[in-house]
Formats: sequence, C-alpha cells, structure tokens
Amino acid sequence: MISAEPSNATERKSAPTRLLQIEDNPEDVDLFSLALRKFALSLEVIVASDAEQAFSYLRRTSDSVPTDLILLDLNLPKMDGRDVLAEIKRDERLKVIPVLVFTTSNSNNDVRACYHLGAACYFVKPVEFTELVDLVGKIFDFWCETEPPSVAE
Amino acid sequence: MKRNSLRILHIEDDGADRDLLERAIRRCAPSFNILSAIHGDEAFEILLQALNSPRPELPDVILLDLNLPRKDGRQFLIELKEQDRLKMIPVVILTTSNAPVDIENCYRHGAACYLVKPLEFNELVELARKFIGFWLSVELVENQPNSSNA
Repeated sequence: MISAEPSNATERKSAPTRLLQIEDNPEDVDLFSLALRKFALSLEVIVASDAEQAFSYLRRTSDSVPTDLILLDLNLPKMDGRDVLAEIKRDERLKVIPVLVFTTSNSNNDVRACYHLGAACYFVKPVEFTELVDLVGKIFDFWCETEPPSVAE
Repeated sequence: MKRNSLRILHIEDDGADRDLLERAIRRCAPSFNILSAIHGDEAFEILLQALNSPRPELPDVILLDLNLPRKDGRQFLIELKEQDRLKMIPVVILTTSNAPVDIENCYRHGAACYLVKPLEFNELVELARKFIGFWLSVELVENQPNSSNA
C-alpha cells in the first residue's frame, strides 16, 4: 500500500487535502498521479488497492489524520466498490468523508445505485489522457474551494 | 452523459444573496435553469411537483443555505436524504457558517460538499465558474419518465 507521510501542520487550512484513492489497477493509479502533477495542488494521495487495505487505513487514521476525500473505483477485487461505498456510509466515523466514484461504468443503474448509497458524485474515467487531465483539473479546481468534513483534534 | 446545462434548485431566503448567486452563475453560463425557493417547505413543494409531472424534471443539483426560516437548511437536508425518490440529488451547501459542527453535520447527513459563501462578488463569480466546471462533468441520475401517475 502506497502512503505519504502525514503532515504535521497544526493549522487545518494550510494542511494538504488528504485523498484516499481506492483503485486496484496500477495503470489507472499512475495515470491519475500523472494528471495530478499537471496542477500545483496541495494534495496528499494515499492508494489502497482493495477494501481491506482501504478500511484498515481509514480506521487506523480517522482520529489522527482524517481523510478528506475518497476516490472510489467500483471494479475492485474481493469486495465490490458498491459494497465498499455502502460500508463507508454505514460507519459512524467514516460516513462524513465525501466519496467521489471514479469508474469505467456509465450505466445509469450504477450511477443511481451510487447516489442512493450516498456517493457525493460520480465520474466516468475518461479514455484519453488529455481528457483525464482536463477532468482532474475541474474536479480539484472546485474541490479545493470546499470545506473538509472534519478537523483533527 | 455530456451535458451543457444544469438545472439548479437554489434554496436561499435572502433576496440579495439569491440575486448575487444567480448573477454569478449567469455570468459564466447564461442558459442555466435556476429555480429558487426561500425555505425548505417551498423547496419540497417544487420537488414533489417535479416528481409528479409526467416527465419528471428534477433539479440536477441543489444549492442550499443553512439559515432558512420555517424549515432550516439542516432539517431540509436530513428530510431530503430520507426520501427515496429525491435522495439521489446532490446537495451543495452554500452558507455563511464555517463552524466545524455545521460542516461535519452536513457531511454526516449526506451533503455532497460544503462551501462557505465568499464575501466579494468577484470571488463568487470565480466559485460559480469552478462549480459549473465540476458539476457539468459529473454523471447524474437520468430522469425516468413516469410510467404511472401514482
């Protein structure tokens, strides 16, 4: 599991946005990382390749260095992404974290199911890298204006 | 599904704030459909009417102020997210409060994200531009035509 060192920032506003990317395809992880590098973002990305890693990370860190945002692929090994989303939104401590579904499926059934389960929003992974860069730019341009869900004590 | 327009339901009781946001959005996207409600009850009326029309045209996204008369925004959010036919509409909080308890509670009750109202109009325009760029890129639930009038 890839993780970055948590920052020691005491002032919440200057701390980087902490993003957990739940994605099992290493190529997609790399592409996303490359796309992010096009922008000067204060963003810390932690990658989990399945539900077990994701929940282990989240539960271990929710009090100390809370995750601000989750990027979730639906096609995961073992526990399906929809079930991961349901589990996050059932957990009293983790449900506050906004989940952005970021997946290949554009089926309206999947879109509907994810919003019903409490996803903040749903994105279809672009096929072209230039489109991915454009989308990542739009996502974080806006998301950096939002307030994170919790402040570490 | 590529869209070039959004249907926004803006729930805000302050007339000046309502106008400013509408102006900010129109500066970036003149063709957007912006519905207004001044409190939660009116918003529910609009939503239920939309649901019961033969071709339901629910808003794509709701912009919600928290400090509303009658049913306040916090209560509206809770009730909206309990409605099976309405809960899938993303709710973006746009309010003056930056209180951590408000922020956390809104996320807890299913808000997609939380924005603190900017003080300057040019900042509001910039925020509107980013909001539009983001929500036009999002996949939303497609409105299904009503098969019955139940």
